[in-house]
Amino acid sequence: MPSLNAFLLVGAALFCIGFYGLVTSRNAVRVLMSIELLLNAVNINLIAFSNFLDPNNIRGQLFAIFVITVAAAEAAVGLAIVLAIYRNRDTIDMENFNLLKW
Amino acid sequence: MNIDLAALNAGALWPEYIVTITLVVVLLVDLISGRKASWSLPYLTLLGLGIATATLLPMWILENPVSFLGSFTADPLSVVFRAFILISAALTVLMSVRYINQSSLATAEFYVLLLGATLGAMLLSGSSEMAMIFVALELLSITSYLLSGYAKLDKRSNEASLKYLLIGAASSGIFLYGMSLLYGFSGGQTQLTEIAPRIVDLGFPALLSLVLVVAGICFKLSAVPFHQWTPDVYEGSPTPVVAFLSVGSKAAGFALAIRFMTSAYPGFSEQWQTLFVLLAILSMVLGNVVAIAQTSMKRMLAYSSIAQAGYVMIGLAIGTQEGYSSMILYIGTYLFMNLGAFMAVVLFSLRTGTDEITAYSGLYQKDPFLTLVLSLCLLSLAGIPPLAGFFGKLYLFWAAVQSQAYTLVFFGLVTSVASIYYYVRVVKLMLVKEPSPQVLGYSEAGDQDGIQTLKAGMLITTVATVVLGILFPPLISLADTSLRATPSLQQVRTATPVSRVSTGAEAPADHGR
Amino acid sequence: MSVPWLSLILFFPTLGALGLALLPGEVSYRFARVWALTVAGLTFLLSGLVAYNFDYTSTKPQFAETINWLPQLGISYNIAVDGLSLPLMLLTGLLVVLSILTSWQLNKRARLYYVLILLLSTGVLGAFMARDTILFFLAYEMELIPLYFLISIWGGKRREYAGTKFLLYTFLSGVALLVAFLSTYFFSGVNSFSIDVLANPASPYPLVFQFITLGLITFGFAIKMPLVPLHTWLPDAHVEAPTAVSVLLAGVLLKLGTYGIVRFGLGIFPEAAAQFAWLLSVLAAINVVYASLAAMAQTDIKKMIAYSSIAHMGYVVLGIASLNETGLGGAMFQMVSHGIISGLLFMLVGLIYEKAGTRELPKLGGLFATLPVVGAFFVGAAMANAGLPGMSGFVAEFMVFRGGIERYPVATVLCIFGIVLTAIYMLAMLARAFFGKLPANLETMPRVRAWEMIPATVLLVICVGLGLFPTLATGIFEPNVAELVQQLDARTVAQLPR
Repeated sequence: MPSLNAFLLVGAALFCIGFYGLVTSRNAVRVLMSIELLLNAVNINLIAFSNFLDPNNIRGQLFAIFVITVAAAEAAVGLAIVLAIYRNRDTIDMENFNLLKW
Repeated sequence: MNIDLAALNAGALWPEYIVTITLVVVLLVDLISGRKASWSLPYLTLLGLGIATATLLPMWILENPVSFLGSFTADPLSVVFRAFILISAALTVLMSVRYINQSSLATAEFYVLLLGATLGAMLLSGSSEMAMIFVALELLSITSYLLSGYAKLDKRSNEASLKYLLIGAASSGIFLYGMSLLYGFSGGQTQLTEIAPRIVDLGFPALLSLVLVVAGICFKLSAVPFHQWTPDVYEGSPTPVVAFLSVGSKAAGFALAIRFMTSAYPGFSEQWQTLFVLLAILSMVLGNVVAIAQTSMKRMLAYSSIAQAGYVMIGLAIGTQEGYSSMILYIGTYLFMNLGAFMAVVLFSLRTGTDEITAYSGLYQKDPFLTLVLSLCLLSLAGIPPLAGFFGKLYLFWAAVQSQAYTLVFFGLVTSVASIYYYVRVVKLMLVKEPSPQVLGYSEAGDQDGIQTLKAGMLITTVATVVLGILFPPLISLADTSLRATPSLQQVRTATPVSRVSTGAEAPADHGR
Repeated sequence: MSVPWLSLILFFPTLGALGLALLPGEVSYRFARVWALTVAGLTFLLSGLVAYNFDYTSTKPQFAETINWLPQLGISYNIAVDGLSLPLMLLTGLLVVLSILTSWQLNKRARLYYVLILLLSTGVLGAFMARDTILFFLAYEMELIPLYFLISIWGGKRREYAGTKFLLYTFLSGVALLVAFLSTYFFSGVNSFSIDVLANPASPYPLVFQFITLGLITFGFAIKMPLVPLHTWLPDAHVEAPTAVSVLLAGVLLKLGTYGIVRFGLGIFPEAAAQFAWLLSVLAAINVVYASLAAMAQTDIKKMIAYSSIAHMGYVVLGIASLNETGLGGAMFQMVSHGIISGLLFMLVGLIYEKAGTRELPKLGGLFATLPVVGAFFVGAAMANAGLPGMSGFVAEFMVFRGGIERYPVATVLCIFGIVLTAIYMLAMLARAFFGKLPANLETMPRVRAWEMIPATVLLVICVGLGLFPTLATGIFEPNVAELVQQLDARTVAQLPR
C-alpha cells in the first residue's frame, strides 16, 4: 500500500489542476467541473488521513460523505443558474458576462 | 452504539428548530393555499423569527453550552451573533414585502430561501466542529447564491448569481482543503478545541492550513483581496438580498472567524493576528478609496461594506477582550445603520427604478422622511457623532490604542476621513442640489400594500442608529458579559494596562499571549 | 439636586431644532425665524442667568454636572463653566441671536436653515462647556455637519467646493485631536478622559510624549483657528457662506481653536507648552504678516475681511505663546473682541452686498451717499479692527503686545507691524468703497432700513463698551488666567531640566 504522502500528493495535484482550470476556463460548465476537482482533492485528503491516522473513528470518511452531498447540491444549483443564464443570454462563455464590471 | 439523548443537549438549538419549523410552515401554507395566502407569508416569517428570538434570549448564559457532542457550542458569543442574524433577517423581511410584490417574483420561495440562509448563518455562528462548520457554511452559501439570482429573468441578477457561486464555491474548496489538512495534522480530530493542542508545535504545515482557512473565511467577510465578488453581486442582486448578505452573512462570517481562530489556532495568535492586521488595512484602504469613485449607490455601499468589514477586523486583529467586545458592538451598530441605508435604497429604487447616485439629487424636496433616514444612516456609517457608528468606531479605536496597535488606528482614522467624502456626497446631493429628473417624476401614488412595513423598518433602524449611541454603556457591559462567559475566549488575555515605555510599537505582533 | 442650568442651555437649542423639524405641515419662514429667535434668545437669557450667578472670584469650574456616561471607557458627561469658557459661552449665545436677526429676510428653505443654526449652537456651546476630552471632541465634530450644510446650501457660487473643503479640513483636525486625546488617556493611566484628572497625572508625562501630543493638538486646532499655512479653507468658506454664517464662523467657531489650545495644550501639557511656545510665537508672527499682506491684495471686501480675521487670530496665538498673565489675558480678551469686531465687519459687508449687489472694490465707490449709516458703522468697525484706543481691539492687542514683548521681541514687533498693515488696508478699502464717485448703476440701490442695523449696533456698543471698561471682560477670566500661569510656572520650574 502506498504511503500517506502519496495520497496527499495526488490530492495536492488535483487541487492545483482544479485551481488552474478555475482560473483559465471560459466555459461556465468547465468552471463548475474545476470546482468539483477542488472538492475531490479535499475528499482524497480526508479519506487518506482518516485511513492512516484515524482508523477507529473514521471522522474523515464521514466528513467526505458530507462534502460529496453538499458538492452535489452546489453543482445542481450551479447548473440551474447556468441554465437560466443560457436561456436569457444564449451563451455560457464567461467572457461575455460583462454586464457588471468585474 | 449508545448515545444518551440527554447528553446531546438538544435544547440549546431551539431557535434553530423554530426557524426550521417556520420554513416548513411557509412552504406548506404556500403549497396548500397558493396565491390566496401569499400576503400572509412575510408575516408568518416575521412571527417565526420573533419566536426564535424570544427563545434565544433566555439562553443568554447556559450552564452547559456544548450540544450535539461538541458540534455546536451555544455559548453567549454565539447567542449574540445569532441574535444579530435573526434581527437582520427580520429587517430584511420588512424591506422585501413591497419589493417582491412590485417586481412580481415568487413569494414563498423567497422567504423559504431567506429562512434557509438565516438557519445556515445561525448554525455557523455556533458550530465548533469542522464538518458542522462546512455544512452550515454551505447552507448559508447555497441559499445566498439562489437568493442573489432570485430575479431569474434579469440578466444582471443571473450574472451576479453565477459570479457569486463560482467564487464562493472556489473559496469554500480552499477553506475545505485547509480543514482537511487540519484534520490530518491533528491526527484525526475535527473538534476545533481538540485540534488546538495537537498542532501547536507543527510550525509551517499548521501555518499553511491557517492561510487556507483564513482565505476561505475572508471570502464571507469580503475582506480585500477576497472581495472581488462583492461589488458585482451587490449591484446585480435584488436589494433586500444584498442587505441580508451585507449584514447577516457577514456577521456569521465574523462569528466563524472569532471561533475558528481562538479555538483552533490559539497557539498561532501572533501569526493570525498579523494576517488580520494586513487584511484589515487593505480592506479599509481599498474599500474607502474605491467607494469614492462609484456612481451606483449599491456599488458604493458594496465598497463601503468592504471598508466597514476592515474596521471590524481591527477588533479581531488585536485579539483582546476589548477587541472582541468592540467588534460585537460595531457589528451591532453596523447592522442597523447599514440595513437602514439599504431600506432607503429599496424605497427609492421602487419609486424611481434607478440606483444611480446622481438620481438622488434634491430628494429632500420630495421626500424628507426618506432623506432623513438615508442621511442619518450614511452619516452614522461615516462615524459622525453623536450617531451610533461614531461610538462603535470610537470603541474600536479605543481598544486598538489600548493594545498599542497604532498602525491600525492610523489607517483606521485616515481612511475614515476619506470615507466622509463619499458618504457626505450623497447627503449633500439630496439636501443641496436641485431635483434630478427621476426625483421630479417621483410619486408616492403607486404605493400599495407593503410600503408600510418598509417604512416601519426604516423607522426602527433610524431610531436604533440614533439611540444606540446614547445606550452605549449598557451595551458594552452586555458584550463584556457575553465574552466573559464564553469558554473559548477565556484564554484570551485581557489587555494589560499599557506601560508608558515605548510609543513607537509596531502592529500588535508583540502580544502573542 | 439643583437645576442643571448648563444642560438646559446646551440642549434647549437642540430641543428647539427638533421641535421645529418635527412640526407637521409646511412652516412659513416668518414662523421659523420667530421660533428660532425665541429659542436662541431664551438660551442667551439662560446663559446670562448663569453669568449673573457666577462666582467671579473663584477659579473652580462652576455649575458642574457629572454623569458617569461610559464608565468602561472612562468617558463622562461632565460640563461646567469657568472664567475661560464663560465669556465665550456668552459670546456664542449673543452671536447666535444676532445672526438669526441678520438672516431675518431669508426665506429659502428657512426651516432647515434655522434647525441647522440651532444644532450648530448646541455643538459650539457643548465644546466650550465640556470638561471631558471626548465630550469636547463630540461637540467639536457635531458642529461640523450643520455648518457644512449651512455653507453648501445657502452659500454663493462655489459653495459646494467651499463646503467640502471646510468639511475635510475640519474632520482632519478632529482626527488629530482624537488621536491626541486617546493617547493621553492611555498614557496617563488614570482611566478617565476628564480634563481635570488628565491635567494632574500620577506622574508627569514624559517630555517626548508631551511634544508629540501637543504637536497633534496644535495641528488640530491650528486648522480650526486657522494658522497659515493651514488656513486655505477659511477664505473660501467665508466668501461663499451667507452673512449670518460668516458671523458665526468668525465670531465663535474659530475661537474653538484658540480656546482648545489654552484648555488642552497649556492645561494638560504645561512642560511641553513652555518649550514649544517660541514656535507658536513664530507661527503667530507669520500668520499676522502673511494674512495682513494677503488681505491687502484682495479686491473682494469679504475676502479681505476674512484674511483680516485670520490675521487677528494671530494675536491670540501670540498672547498664548507669551505664557504670562498679561499675554494670556490679552489672548482671552482678543478672542472676545475678535468675535465682536469680525462679526460686526461681516454684518456690514453683508449689508453692502445685499444693497449694492457686489463686493468687488473696483465696482464700488461713493457709498457714503447711499448708505451713510453703514458707512459710519464701517468707519467705526475699521477703527476697532485696526486697534484704535477706546475700542475693545485696542485693549486686547495692547495686552497681547505688553505680554509678548519681553519674551519674543521680534515676533511682537512683527505683529505690531501687522496693526499698521491693518490700518492701511482698512483705510484703503474705506476710501475705495465709501468715498469717491458712486458708479451710475448703484445710484438706484435700495437704502438700509433702520431695523437692519440693530445687530450691528449691538456689537458696536459692546465693542466700545469693552474698550472703555475692559474690566467687564478681564474680571471674568483674570483669576483663571492667573491660576493657569501659576500652574505653568510651578510645573515648568519644578520639572524642566535646565
